Amino acid sequence: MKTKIFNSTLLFTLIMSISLSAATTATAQTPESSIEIQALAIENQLRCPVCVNQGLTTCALALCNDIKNSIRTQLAEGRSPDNILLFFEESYGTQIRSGLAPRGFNLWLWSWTVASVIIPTTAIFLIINRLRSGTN
Amino acid sequence: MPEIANILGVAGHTALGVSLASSILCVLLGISSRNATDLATTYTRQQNLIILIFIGLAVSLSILTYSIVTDQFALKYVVEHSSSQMQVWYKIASLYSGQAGSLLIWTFAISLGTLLLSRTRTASFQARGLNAITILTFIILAFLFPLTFLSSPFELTSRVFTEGIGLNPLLVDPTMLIHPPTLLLGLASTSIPFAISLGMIISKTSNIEWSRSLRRWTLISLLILSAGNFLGAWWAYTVLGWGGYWGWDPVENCAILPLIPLAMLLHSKPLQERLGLFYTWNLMLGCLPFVLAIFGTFNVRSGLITSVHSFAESDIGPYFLGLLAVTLLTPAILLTLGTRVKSVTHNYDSVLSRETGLIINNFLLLSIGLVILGGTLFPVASELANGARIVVGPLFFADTVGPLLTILLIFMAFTAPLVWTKTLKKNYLQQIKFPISLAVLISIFAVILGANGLINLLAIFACAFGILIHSFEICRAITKNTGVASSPYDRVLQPFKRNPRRYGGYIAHIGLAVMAIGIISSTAYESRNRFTVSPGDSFALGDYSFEYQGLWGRKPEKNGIEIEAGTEVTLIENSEVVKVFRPGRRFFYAAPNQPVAIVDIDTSLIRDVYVFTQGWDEQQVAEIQILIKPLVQWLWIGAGLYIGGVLVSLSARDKSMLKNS
Repeated sequence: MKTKIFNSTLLFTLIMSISLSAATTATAQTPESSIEIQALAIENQLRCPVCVNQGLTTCALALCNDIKNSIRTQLAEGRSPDNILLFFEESYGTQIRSGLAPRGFNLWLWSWTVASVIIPTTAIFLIINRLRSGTN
Repeated sequence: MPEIANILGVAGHTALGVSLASSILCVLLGISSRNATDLATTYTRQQNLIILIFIGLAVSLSILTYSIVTDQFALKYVVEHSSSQMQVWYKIASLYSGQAGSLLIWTFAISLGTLLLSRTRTASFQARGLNAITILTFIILAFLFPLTFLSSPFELTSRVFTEGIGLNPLLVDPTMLIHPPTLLLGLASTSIPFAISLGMIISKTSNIEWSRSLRRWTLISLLILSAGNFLGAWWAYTVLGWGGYWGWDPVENCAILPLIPLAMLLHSKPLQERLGLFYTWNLMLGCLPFVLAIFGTFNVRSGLITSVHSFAESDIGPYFLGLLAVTLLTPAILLTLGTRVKSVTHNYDSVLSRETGLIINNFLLLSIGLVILGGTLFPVASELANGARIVVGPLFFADTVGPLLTILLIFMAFTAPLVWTKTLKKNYLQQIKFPISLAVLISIFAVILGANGLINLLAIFACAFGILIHSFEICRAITKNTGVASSPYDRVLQPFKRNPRRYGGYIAHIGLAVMAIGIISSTAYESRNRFTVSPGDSFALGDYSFEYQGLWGRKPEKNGIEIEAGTEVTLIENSEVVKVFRPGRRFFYAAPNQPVAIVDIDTSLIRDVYVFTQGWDEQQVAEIQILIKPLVQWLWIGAGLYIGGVLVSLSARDKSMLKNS
């Protein structure tokens, strides 16, 4: 009985894990034109210049649709993604970039982020060491 | 009608006044009886006053509900948030769509929690009970003050209105009937762990009953707040029409921030029980969720942060800033000045122990919380420093929180088979070798099928390992059955009955891993495209073929909706129509320039086909956006499992080892 329950649960888990993984990756292979893939990658790095906290990809404003079309046109003309991003940054300012470049005042946030990881990690080591030495 | 509204307004004010007076009395009683000999009498009096506070708030809430449902447009709140055109349940949703209404619900929820806590029968309720109850009543008082004097829901209009503005169009959705109240209830419930912890800080002692109570209320807060956030994500996915469910918007961040110390507390409480460690840490964690809840409320009300969710922006932000300072500084100062770190009795034998796993996971959660807090506050900091607001978008959070969550998932999985005090290396390796091998195989299989990106692959591994190891642990408990379970059903249930705290936690962990699968696959492997099409045009995205049929439109004549219109798109497989999508836009009389998206989704466990229309012209040329979102349904399934796990854990009859001190 024990073995039966164990085996069926194991089989269920195995099937579920494999099917999930397969489905994840099968859809990853959806054929897209290379320009469309690059365009979507660029769109993901830009935000709507008008709306609040709205990505370019998801914004339905006419302005955003123009930017999306412009991305595709520029890609078709052979411009590199970096150049296209720079073009929009020059046109609309750095605020159009979704990401936060590690420069200028942004470095404060990046420093905070690094400290948020380093300080707790150090705390883990200190606490474990103290516990160990306490035992020893 | 205005006469009735006047009566209702006066009655509402009176009910609030009764609650206000009772809460002042209750606080005074609590403060003055600190040295009283008969604490039990004081406690009984406080219990009675709490009933009065609760009744007063329940009556005012009922009056406001009645006023909204019966269209009492002589009340300012009803005019600003309701409309006679709305169906009754959307009218009820107006209760929390404005500031005064949502504050009233907050206060009512805290009073309900206080009432429940005050009825707890414990052997040593007096000292800690009085403290916690007095603190909670003080919080109620702090909420009743703006409700009565600054932002009353019973304020009368200066002239007669025959119709109201109605609900914000974005809120006209069935999910809105449960998401905001759940979230408000969750945020309000954090006041109980706060009061219990602060009560312990003030009394400078711990107590077994109150520790149990703290754990139970922490779980309740975690449950309600998580459910509120999941419902919000569901609303964003099905209503907003951008195909996502979490935008890392500052207000969304404020809603999940209290969850982090709640989760940390649940995982560090056993360390206090086992090692005598983290006493002060746990008290801080008990206070922090409520401080963060107030921080979020202040953010939303003050307009300090720019958000798509700022429905309730108002001028009482400074008041909440004061409240935030009080709630943050009181425990901080008392902990710094008044409490000594308790002497501990270590029982830490090996690094390879559950204790280590819990310490690591606790600090990983701390890292995640700090990063989210930093990203949320950075726009304000940049504006204060430079005069220019730097917006922190989802990419920052995806790049920072994403990897940290992956590491957390991995450590969560590695911790599951660890036992307290010392785990034998041989046993541990024996337990993890099969699930870890299988998880590696699954990851390799994923690479073969085309998965890419180091973080994505690590996350796939973490999820697979997490699901497998926790499932194996549950299976091991089922097969190790030592009881007298007669049927297979009983055998399966026995571990959850025997140790609900542990196995409920495992179910919640599996839920988190399943949710992570949904999140990773639906974001990293999503396909999307926009199509500008005329009626009869065919177009394809990946393996899916579509045909645009034309426009549709209707007049629902309810909920203030003027017209609903959109496009009809068919999904074609083997020349046959397998699904008709009708995405579009909903236009409201009160906000004609603020149409709301109508999204149409074909759902399955493998993928969602998400269709929405961006617009159309007079020639019926439409712009349609299609998204294929793989495995996104697993996000909601995982959320259900997580909630189920927390519920199982909550059913535990706590056999805490904490000693009275």
